[in-house]
Amino acid sequence: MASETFTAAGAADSTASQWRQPGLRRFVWHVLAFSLLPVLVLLLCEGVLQGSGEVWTLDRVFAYQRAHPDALYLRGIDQELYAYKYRGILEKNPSIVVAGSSRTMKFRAAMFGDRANSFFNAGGMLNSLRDLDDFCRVLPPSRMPSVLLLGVDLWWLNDNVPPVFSFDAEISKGAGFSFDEHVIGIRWLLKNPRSLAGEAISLVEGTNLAIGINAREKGGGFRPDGSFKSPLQTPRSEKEWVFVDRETPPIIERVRNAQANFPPANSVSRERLAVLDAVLARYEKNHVFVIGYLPPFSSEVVAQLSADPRHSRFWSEFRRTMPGLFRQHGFPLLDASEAASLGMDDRAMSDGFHAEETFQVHALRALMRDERVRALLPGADAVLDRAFRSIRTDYWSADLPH
Amino acid sequence: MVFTSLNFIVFYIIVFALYWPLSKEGQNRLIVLSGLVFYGAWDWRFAVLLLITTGIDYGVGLALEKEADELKRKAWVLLSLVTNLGVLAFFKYFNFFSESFVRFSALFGMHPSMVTLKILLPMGISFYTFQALSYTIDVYRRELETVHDPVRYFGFILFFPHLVAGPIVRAKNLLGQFNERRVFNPATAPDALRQMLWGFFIKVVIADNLGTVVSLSYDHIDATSGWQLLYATVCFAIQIYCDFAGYTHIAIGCARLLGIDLMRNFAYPYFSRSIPEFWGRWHISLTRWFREYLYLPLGGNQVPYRRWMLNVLIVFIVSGFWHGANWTFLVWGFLHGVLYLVYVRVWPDSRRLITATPGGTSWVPSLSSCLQIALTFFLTCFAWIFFRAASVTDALVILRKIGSDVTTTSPRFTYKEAALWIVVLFAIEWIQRDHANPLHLERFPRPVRWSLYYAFAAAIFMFAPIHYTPFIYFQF
Repeated sequence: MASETFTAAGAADSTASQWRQPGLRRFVWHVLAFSLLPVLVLLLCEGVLQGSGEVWTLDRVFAYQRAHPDALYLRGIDQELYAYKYRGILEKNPSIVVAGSSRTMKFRAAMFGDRANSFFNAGGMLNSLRDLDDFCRVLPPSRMPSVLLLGVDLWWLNDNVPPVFSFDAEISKGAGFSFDEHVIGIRWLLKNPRSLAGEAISLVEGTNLAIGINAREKGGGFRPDGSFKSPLQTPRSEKEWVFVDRETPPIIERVRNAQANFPPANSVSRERLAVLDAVLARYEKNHVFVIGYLPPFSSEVVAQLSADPRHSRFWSEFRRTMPGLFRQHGFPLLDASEAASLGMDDRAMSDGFHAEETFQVHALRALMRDERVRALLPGADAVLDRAFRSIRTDYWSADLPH
Repeated sequence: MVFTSLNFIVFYIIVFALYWPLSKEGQNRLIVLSGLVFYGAWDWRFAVLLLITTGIDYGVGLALEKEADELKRKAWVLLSLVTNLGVLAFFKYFNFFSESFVRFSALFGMHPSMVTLKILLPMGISFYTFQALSYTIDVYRRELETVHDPVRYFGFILFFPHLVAGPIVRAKNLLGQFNERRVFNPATAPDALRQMLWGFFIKVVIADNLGTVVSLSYDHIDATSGWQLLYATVCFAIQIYCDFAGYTHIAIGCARLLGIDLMRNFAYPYFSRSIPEFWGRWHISLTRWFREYLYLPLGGNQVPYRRWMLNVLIVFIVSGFWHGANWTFLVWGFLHGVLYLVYVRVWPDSRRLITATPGGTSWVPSLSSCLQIALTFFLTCFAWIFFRAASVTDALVILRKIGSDVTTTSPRFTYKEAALWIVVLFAIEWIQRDHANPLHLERFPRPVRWSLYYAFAAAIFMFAPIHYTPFIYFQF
C-alpha cells in the first residue's frame, strides 16, 4: 500500500495542483455520483417533512391555524402534545381551559356559548398528577384561566403507575430547529414508504390543508381551539352503531390483566391525594374555578373494575374520595365514570376509555346543573339545547356552531 | 470532535479539499492545524497541554542528536519519559494511587488523609503519549534520525485520524511519510472510503446498539439474571471490538485518503484459535509497542524460562493498567498473561497461527478449529467481565450469577436484534477474512458493489442511535 502511494508521488509534478489530476477528479465525481441517490431520497423526505408540516415549529403551526381556521394539526412521528397544548395556552391566553389526558380532548369551544372565543382545550397534556402539579407550577400567573375543567384519571391516584413524561422537557419541544427530529422524521418516512409516497403526491396536489402527517393521512387532529376532531368514520345506519374498543390492546384486556394503567391497587395513594389537594388549594388561592370531571369507561370496563378484587376497592374509594376533595375547596365535580349516569351508553365511546364529542355535550349539560357553572358559561345552554334537538347530532358528533 | 459526528464529516471534507492542492510543507502545516482544530474542539486547554509535551519531545530529539555523552543522552531521554509518563500518571492515575494508598494503609490501621482531585482525562492521552515516546526512545537508540522540521514532527503527533485512539504507529514508520509531498492515489482511494464505511457501520450500528444491551445488564447487575449477564458479556465482547475496530477502520480510511498509511490494528481477533493468536490480532499496534519498548528491554525470551514468564506477565499487567486506573483492568491484564503462558506451555505452536488465515483457509472450518475458536472466545469473554465490570467485586458477582442463575429471564426483543447484528458481523468477517478491509469488494461488478454500499449506508442512517455514543477507547 505504502509503496503504491509513494511510487505515484515520485512521478508526479510537485508544482501542479492535484485538483487538475484526472484521477482525483474522477474519484470526486464518482463519490458525487454515488451520493446523488441518497441525497435525492433525503431531499424528498425532507421536502415531505416540511411540506406536510411535520417538522414545523409550534409558532408556525399557530400562525398557520390562525390563517386557516379549518386546518387540523396532528403530527405522525412525535406528536409533541404537551408542547402544543401548553404553548397554546400561552399563545391564546384563554379564560376557560380544559386540561387532563386524552380523555378530555373532545370538549370544543363551540360548546361553551358566549365564552367560546376564550376557550382552549389542553387535553392530552396531563397524564399524571406530577404533570398537573408541574403545570400548576410553571404556568405564569398572567396566563392562569378563570375556569379550569380538569379531567382526573383513575390511575393518577394509583401508586403503582409511575409518571412517564417529564412535563418540563415535553413542553420545551417544538420551539426551534432540531436536527434529531429531522433524522427521526426521515427514518420514519423511509420505514413507511406508503406514507412517503402518499404525502409526496398530496403535496403536489396541494389540496390538503392539514398540518402533520397524521392529520393529513387520517383526517383527524387538533382544531385551533385545541379540541380533537376524531378521524373515525361515522356509521351510516343505526345497525352499525356497535361499540368496538379500538385501543390496542383493548382497555378491557388491560383491566383484566391488570396491566398498563390498571395495575392492582388496594387503596387510593395518600401521597398522591395530598398532591392533588395541594394543587386544588393553589388554584383556589389564585381564584381559578376548577370543575372536576371523571371521564367515562365503557360498561364492561366499569363492570370489571367493580367486580375484580384487584381493582374494586381502589375503584370505589377513588369515586368516593374525589367529590369530597373537590368540595373541600369549593369546586364541583362530575363523576361521569359510567356513561349510563348521563343517559348514554357504550355507543358514545370509541374505545374502553375515550368518549366522543356528544358525550362531552351531555357531560357539560350535567355540569351546568350546578348554578356556579351555569353562571360562568353564559349562552352555553342555548348551544347545548340546539345540539340535543338537532337530527345531525349522533352518538359521536354533536351539531355545534362552527 | 468525533468521527461519528456531522461536524467531523464537514471538517474532513474541508481538510480533504484544502489538502491536495498544497505543497509538501503546506500539507504538513494543514495536518498540524487540522489536528489542533480536531483536538481543540473537544477542549482547547488540553490542546495546549498536548502542544507543550510535543514541544518538549521535539526539543529532546534535537538535544539527543547533538549530545554524544551517553550519560547526558540518558538524562535527555529520561526527561522525555518523565514528562510524558508524568503527565499521564497525573491525569490518569493520581486518584487511583491516592485511593489505593488510603485503602492499603487502612489494612494496617492507618488512616492518612489523601487528596483526590476532580481531574478530567485529556482525550487520547495514553495513545499520543506512547506515540511520542516511540520517537524519543528510537532517537535515543539511534534507530531513527532526529526530525529538525518542527512542522513535520508536530504533524506526526497531531495527525488527527490517529490522534486520540491510535493506531499507535511507531515514529520510524510514520515520520518518513511526511517527508514527501503526498500525491492522490486513485487506485487506493475507493478502498479507503469503503474502509471508512465499514468502520462507521460496525461502530454506530453494531457497537452502539449492543452497548444498550450491555449497559442494561452491567449497570443493574442485581436486577439481572445470570442468563442476561452471560448474553451481555458476549455482547460486550462484540461491542468493544466493533467500537475500537470501527474507530480504527475510520482512522485508517481517513489517513489513506490523505495519502498516509497507518498500520493495521485488528485482524479478525475473534477467529483466533488461541490466546497468543488473539494477541497477534487484537490491538496490534499496542501489542507491538509493548513488545518493542517493554518486553524486549526486559530481556524478551533471551532470559531463563521463569524470568521470561515474569516478563510476559509484566507486559500484560502493564497493558491492563494502560487501559485505566482500576483494579479491574489489572485483573484483566493478569488473566490474559496467565492464559497466554498456559497456551504457550500446552500448545507452543499456537503463536505461529498469527500469520495464517484466521480460522483456517477452508470455507467450513474443521471441528477442531471450531472448538479452538470457541474456547478462545470463551476465555476472552471471561476476561472481558473484569474489564467491563465497575469493580472486581462486581465482576465476581457477575461470575457467580452466570454460574448459578442462567434460567430465569428470557431475552427481550432488543436482545434478539443484538443477536442479529452479531450474526451479520461474523458472517461478513468470515467471508472477507483474507482482506484487511472487510468491505474489499473489488471482485464484484459495480452494480453489486454500489448496492452493498447503499445497504450499509442505509443501515447506518436507519439504525444508528440518535444520540452520540462515545468511543470506549477515548477514556483510555
